[in-house]
Amino acid sequence: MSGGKQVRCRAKVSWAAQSNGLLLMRQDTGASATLSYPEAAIWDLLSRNVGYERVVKIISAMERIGADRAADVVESAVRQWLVDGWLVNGGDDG
Amino acid sequence: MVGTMANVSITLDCERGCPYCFAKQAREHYPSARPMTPETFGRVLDCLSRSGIDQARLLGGEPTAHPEFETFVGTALERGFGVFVFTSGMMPESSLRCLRDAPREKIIALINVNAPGQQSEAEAAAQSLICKTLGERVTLGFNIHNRAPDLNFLLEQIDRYGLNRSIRLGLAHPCASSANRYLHPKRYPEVGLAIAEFNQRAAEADVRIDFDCGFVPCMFPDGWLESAGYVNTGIGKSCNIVPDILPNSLAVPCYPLASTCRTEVEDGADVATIRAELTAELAAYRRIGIYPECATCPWRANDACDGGCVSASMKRLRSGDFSFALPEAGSRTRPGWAARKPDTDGPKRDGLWVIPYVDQDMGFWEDLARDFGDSIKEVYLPLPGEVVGSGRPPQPSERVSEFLQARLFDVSVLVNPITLQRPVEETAPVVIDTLKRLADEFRITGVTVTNLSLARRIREQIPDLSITASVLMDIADPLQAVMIDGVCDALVPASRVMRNLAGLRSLRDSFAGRIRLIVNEACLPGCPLRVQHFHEMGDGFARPESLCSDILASKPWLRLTGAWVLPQHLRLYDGLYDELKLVGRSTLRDPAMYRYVLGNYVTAGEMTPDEIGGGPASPLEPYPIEEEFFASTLNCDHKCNSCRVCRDYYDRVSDAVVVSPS
Repeated sequence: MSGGKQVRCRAKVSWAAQSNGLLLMRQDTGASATLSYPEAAIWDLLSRNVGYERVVKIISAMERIGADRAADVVESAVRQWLVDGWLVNGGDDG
Repeated sequence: MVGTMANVSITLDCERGCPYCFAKQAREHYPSARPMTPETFGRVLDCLSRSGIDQARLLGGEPTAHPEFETFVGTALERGFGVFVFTSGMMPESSLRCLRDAPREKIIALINVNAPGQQSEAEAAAQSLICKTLGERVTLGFNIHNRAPDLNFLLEQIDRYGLNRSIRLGLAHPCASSANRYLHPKRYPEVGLAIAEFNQRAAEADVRIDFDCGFVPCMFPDGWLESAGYVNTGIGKSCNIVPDILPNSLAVPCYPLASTCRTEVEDGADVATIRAELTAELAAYRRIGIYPECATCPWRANDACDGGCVSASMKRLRSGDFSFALPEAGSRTRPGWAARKPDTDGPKRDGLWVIPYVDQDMGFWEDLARDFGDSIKEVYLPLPGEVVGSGRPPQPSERVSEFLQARLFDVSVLVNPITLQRPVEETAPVVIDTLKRLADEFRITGVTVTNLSLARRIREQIPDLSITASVLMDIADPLQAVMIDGVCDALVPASRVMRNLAGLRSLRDSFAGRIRLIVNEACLPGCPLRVQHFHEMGDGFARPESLCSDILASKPWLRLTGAWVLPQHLRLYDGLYDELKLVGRSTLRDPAMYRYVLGNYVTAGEMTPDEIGGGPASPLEPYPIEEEFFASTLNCDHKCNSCRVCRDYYDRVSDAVVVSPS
């Protein structure tokens, strides 16, 4: 993927796998959130530097949904994490 | 009770050097911390008094090594405190006299003992002297740092010296930011079982077990807490912050978390306030839990457990500065392949992968720990020092010492040449001595062997080392599995059964231990040249040839029958394994290739068989391996003489690759 908006994980954000998803936490503020599936899988894959396109493919396969729907799911999750402050735009502090 | 307790660490110095030492982190984080001054000690006693606490719990390091120890004890007694001393037993005579001569009801000494084989004669003698001198004022404590603790010696000591009839058991917890040997929570159930069995003997001897912090209810056998009378005794709720006040008057939640949070013991402060501050700082971390399953555990939901040791929980945290490009609106990604069935396992399982050591710098390993740490069970490498071969030519090992010192991963060692060069009687002692030394120094948790007699001797001498039966044992049927039962904890099935799901199922049903599948070895099933090949590889030939090249040149379709499983097809083996092993000490020496292959296996990525590092018997071209074809090879009758499925598939995909524009 090229030409898109660069997004990155906010500094001091950590996460741990949970049986019901994934726990996100900010070590600077103590804030936390639980991601359920498939959002947990999306975060896990992105954090392992699996390419965005491949994440969409995997979600499509995991959820047995079509490509467009999978792309919506991934993009929606990412945009929500930007709003919630778990991710930041490339040039932003955090 | 814990709400009204605090430990006073009067010195961080200790000469014992236990591998699991929790205070190591405090020593490293506060390297300039001097022994506590009398003025600070006085202020700390003021704080305890204000808090309604009537016991000064003196901690180290080794508290009796403090030059003012006797003065501190005297001061505490004069001010009406009882004195509780946590000691290794390496106590100066003057300190022992001081404790002996104090009012009996005011003194408790808790001696943290190590197992008889894990402490020096000097330590044992010193502890013996304290036990004789203080008798019932001594309680024995034991920190469990391996999965099969033998605790019986504690009962013998209690009877021999007339000690307090209770034992304080602790778990060796990980320090948050430094390396110590600790008991990984995945070992807890084994320890819980051992404790339950020991408790039976202890109860018969009228000895009570008290549990230190970090024990969780789920580690014990079902129903044991109720039958043994430990319901509502704090198990599961004991990571509850008894502050440790350090010599520099900083209070920390505990030693393992000394670098995570702290607060100053200011004039006028009380322990409840200190505890509340530290509790608030740790509140976010408490949500993690030591296991992924803590999130949905009924013990936790019912407030019977807090999820175990916070420091151990924090070890599960991952972090990293990842980034990616979010597509602009309208430039939608369109996957070019059809949706497959979902993985039946749901989320990725933790600690599944056993991976090879390759001689890369620590940055490589730190990246792996960060990116795949939750997925990695252990890293394997040859037994250092060329004591005995590992069935493969020697590989670079310049950085192995640095790797072992870093203790990023559990490590297992290979003692698996196809045959031992000398009889077992000659080989075993040196192998066992080396294993003992490594297990003491590093996080060596397992060994892979090909020789059952050697395995038996290792089991006898180092009972808590996990033993895996090598793939070179060639175990493919239940009768063979029965032969290793009780000696080996894990079994790597023979290459020749990897494409036989019914055979793997039989093995799994017949073997009580763990099944570990090798996913990317490409050896031909039942290759008649295998023993000679591994003999040449393991016995010092500079560049052993791949002996099967002639066979493969005349029958190239045999490459499709090898023991490999692509990441996208691992789901076909669901329920047939406990662990997965990646091979590639030789073929995955390139760090980028290593990460690529491991990453794909961990995330069930799509690969072709030429990419997996399977060696010269692998398919050498990027043949697409369709799931339908692969699945058929797992369930067929393996009558390759009369069957054309693999030959025809090979003809089709090899033609396709040849005409591919790329």
